[in-house]
Amino acid sequence: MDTDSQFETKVLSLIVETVPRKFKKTAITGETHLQKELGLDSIAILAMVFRFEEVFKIDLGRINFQVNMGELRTVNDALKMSKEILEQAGSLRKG
Amino acid sequence: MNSFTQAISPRHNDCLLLFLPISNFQQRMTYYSAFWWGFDLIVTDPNHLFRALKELRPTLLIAPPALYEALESRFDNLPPGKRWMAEMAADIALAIPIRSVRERIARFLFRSIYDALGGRMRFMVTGMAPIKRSTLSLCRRMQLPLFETYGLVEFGSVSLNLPGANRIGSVGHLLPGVRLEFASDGEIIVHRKDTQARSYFECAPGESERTFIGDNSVATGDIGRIDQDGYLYLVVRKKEIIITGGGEKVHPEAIEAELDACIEVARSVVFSSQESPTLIAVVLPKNPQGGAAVQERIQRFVNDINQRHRSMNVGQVVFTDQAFTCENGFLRPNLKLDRKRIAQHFQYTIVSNTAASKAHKWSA
Repeated sequence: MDTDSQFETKVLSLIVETVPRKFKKTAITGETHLQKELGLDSIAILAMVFRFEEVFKIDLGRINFQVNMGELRTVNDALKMSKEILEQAGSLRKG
Repeated sequence: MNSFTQAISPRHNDCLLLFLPISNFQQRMTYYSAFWWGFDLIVTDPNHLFRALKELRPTLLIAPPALYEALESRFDNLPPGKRWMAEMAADIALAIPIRSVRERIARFLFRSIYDALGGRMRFMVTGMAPIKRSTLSLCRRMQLPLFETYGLVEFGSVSLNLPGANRIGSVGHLLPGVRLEFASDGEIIVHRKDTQARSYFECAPGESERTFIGDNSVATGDIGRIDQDGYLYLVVRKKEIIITGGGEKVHPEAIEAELDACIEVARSVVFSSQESPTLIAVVLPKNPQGGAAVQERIQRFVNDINQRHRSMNVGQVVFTDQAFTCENGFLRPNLKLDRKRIAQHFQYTIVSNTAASKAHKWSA
C-alpha cells in the first residue's frame, strides 16, 4: 500500500478533479468544507467516490461499504473515509 | 407519456437509466414508458449511479443538471494544456459537415467523459432546475446529446429540445397534444386533452383553483416567452417575482445572477421584506471564514450593482456560512430553492440582530 502521504495526495487529487470551476481557487486544507467551500453537491461527491473506486480498484458494493453522505463534510472526513474503505477492502482480501 | 417517449423515438435496443425516486413524475413516466415500449431499464440507487453509467452503458438518461455539471467539472479540471487542445480541436471539428465523423473525433478528444457515460449514450434529458449555459455548450462541443425539457407534476411534460430542433437556453418545442397560451402577466397556461392531475391533495384553500383553472388547463406559475421559431423559454417563477415599494416587478433570479458573478460569492438569494424598504440579499461567500475583508469586497460589488439598477436596490446584505441544501430545508426535494423558507429564516436573523443591537444601544 502507498505511504500515508502518497495516499493523501492521491485522494486530494481526486477531490480537486471534482471541484467546479467557480471554486477552483479555494485553498484546500483538511478543514475545508466540501460543500460550502468547494461547491461539491451530493452528485459531485458521488462522482468523486466513484473515481476513488476506479483509481483504487475497489467496488464499494462488493465490500458492502455504505457511504454516509452526512459524515462527508470536510476534506479530512473524505481522507478518513477513504482510509476506512481501503482497510475494509484489505481485510476482506486477506479473509 | 406517449408524446414524450415518441419524441425521443425509442429503439428496441435502448436502455434507460433512472436513479431518482419515482415520486418524481418524469422518472415515473419514463419507468412506465420502458415497459410500454419494451426497452431495457436500469434502476439504481444514487450511490451506484456512476458505476451503473460506466458499466451498464445506458443509451437514455434523465438526470438533474447537477450530474452534467459534475462531468463539466471533471473536464474543467484536466491539465490546462490538454483541455485547451481538446476544446480547440473540437471547435474545428464542429465545422465538419458529416455527423458521424464529428462524433468519432469528439469520442477521441473527450474519451474520459464518454467512458464515464458508458460510451453508448444517444439521448440525455435534463430539467427540474436551470442548467448552466456553460454545461450545455460543453456538451454540444463534445457532441453529447443533452437536451433540456420542461414539465410539471400537475400537468406532465410540456416541451422538449430534440436533435435537429435544439436551441440552447430554451426548453424546446411543445410536445404533441400540448397547447399553450400566456396570461396577461406572461404566466404560461398549458392545455392538454388528458392532464396528469385534477387537483392538489390537502392543499391551502384556493390553491387548487388557482392552478387547475378548468377546461384541462393548468396555470404553471412560470413566466415565459416563445420565440418566432416556436421555442419556449422560462423566465422566472411567477410566485418569485418581487414587487418593490415603487411597484416595480423584479425577477430575483436576474439579480442573483449578477451577485453570483462576483468571484467571491458562492451563492446568493434575494428577497423582499415588509420590514425593509429595499431588497435583502443572503450571500454565502466562497470563503465564509474570510471575515470582514471578504464581506467588504462583496458589499462593494453589491453597491456597484445598485448603481446600475436604481429601481432594484439591494439595501441589506446578510452573510451566511450555511449552504443552501435539502438537509437544512433551503432546497426543496426537487433541488429548487425554497425561497419562502430562506426568507423566513434570515428575516428572523435580521430581526434578532436588530433587536440585539437596539438592546445594546439602550444598555449603553
